[in-house]
Amino acid sequence: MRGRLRALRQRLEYVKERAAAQRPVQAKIFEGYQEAGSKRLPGRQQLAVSSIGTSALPVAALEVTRKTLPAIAEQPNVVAVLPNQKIHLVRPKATDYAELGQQEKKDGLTWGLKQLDIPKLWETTRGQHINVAVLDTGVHDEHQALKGRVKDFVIIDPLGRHITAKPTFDCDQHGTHVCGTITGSKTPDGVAIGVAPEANLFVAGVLIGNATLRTLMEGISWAVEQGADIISMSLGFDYYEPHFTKVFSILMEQFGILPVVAIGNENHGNSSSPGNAYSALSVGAVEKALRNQVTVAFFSSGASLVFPGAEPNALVTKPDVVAPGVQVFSCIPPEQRPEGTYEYTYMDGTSMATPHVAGVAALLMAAKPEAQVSDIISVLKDTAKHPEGARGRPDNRWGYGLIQPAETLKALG
Amino acid sequence: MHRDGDAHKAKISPEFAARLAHLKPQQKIRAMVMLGVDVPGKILGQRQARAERQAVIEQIHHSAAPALLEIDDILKHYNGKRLAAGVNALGAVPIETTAAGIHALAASERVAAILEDQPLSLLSMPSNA
Repeated sequence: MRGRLRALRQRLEYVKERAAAQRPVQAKIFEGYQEAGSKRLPGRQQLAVSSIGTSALPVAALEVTRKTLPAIAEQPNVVAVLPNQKIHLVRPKATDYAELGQQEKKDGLTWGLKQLDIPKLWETTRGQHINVAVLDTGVHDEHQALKGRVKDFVIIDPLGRHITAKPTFDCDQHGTHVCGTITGSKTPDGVAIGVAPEANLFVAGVLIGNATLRTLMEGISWAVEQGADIISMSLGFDYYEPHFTKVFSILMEQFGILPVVAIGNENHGNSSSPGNAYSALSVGAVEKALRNQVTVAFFSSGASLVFPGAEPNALVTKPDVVAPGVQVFSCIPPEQRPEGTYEYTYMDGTSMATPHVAGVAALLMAAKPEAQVSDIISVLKDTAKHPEGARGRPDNRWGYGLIQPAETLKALG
Repeated sequence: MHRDGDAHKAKISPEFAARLAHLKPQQKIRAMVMLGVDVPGKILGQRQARAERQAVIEQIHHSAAPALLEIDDILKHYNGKRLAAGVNALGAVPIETTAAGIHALAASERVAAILEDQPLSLLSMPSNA
């Protein structure tokens, strides 16, 4: 205790010494600024200057005009000039689902489908004959929105065994929600939730019990055998596994399958494996902003991995693209709540952005059956929209940008 | 079988190698072994009809057969075992063996990579608070 008091006294003395040393420097800046600044104003008006606190911090408040700003910036002891902008309390975000729900009902589709202009692609195709495999927590295929869409279902247990189950089930809500975003039809209120409502679903429950890398590989292998064209994965390992790139490369090169993988929800500067494999099409999340704009969600992961000498993949920048992943409305297994039974809900996450991209890929494959997987990936990236244009991409927030499905379809020729 | 230090390292991730280094000599670990299977007539990213897909899978199974014999010999030597009858459509087979067994497998020319059978989970959900 005595030691702590001594340390506090020493710090106080240090602060006083610093303040005393800084006061003459500050006075000189004030004098120099007032002299130089007033010369630039009509009638040599005086400019207000004031210290902040005891001057322990080398900061002061000054009145500045457009003409006098250079005069303060030119002072030799000034290192930076910051605008006195407003600050506000950081509050938990209150999400107004009621307003969004009303808008989606009015539009007849979710905000994500509207943002991606999906009805434009529906003029060409609704994803018929394209097989999308979803490796997740399962699916409740008796949901009205998924009627007729689930063509096969399997549970992969932790020992890698394939267990068939009828009726199908979801051990969570996640898998059913993801499936709804890919191929769901309309809610009773007339809101379209699925990007490719005529695509086929092949669902493997790989996240049931103590799931491992083997469970995922068995699920992928099952999807290959079922004839999958696209595999949607919103999941992650404990640690980075560089060799999973080989799995995705086999899918693309030997089987012509597109792996679409969530990049993770660990914020800027992080990424999840296997989504961060260079050979995966990895997806980050955007949310609605004011004036019909979108912005990258705070949680959406993004990072670059560096492998010196490993050309052409020495620098892997993730995510590849972004898609709607906040306030995503889709179907869930029936849930009893005090107010009644719920069969639809909103969810957030790159898990929700990923099925948007998988659904778009299904529409593109249906419309352009001759297009190679590598072409679809590169054109999706090329046509994506980044707020800073081509010079700003790829980065670790937007990747190449927000996908523009109609532009991609046009560019595929 | 041959030994090549760099090639060996390239088949096991640094994280997996570090975990192997901390295992006791008789302690076993599960892994997926990816075999270097040759698939002639690779179609490089073109979508396939069902029959074409099945043909590629059969080629992978066929091509893996001699490699599995070699894998079995190595596993037997290190008190390990295969955990599936054959390779899956990706040319991978689950195994269980000691750290020394993993290193011996990595030294085989027929092995392309060895991945630890590490946990898999749903991505953490974002918190809005």
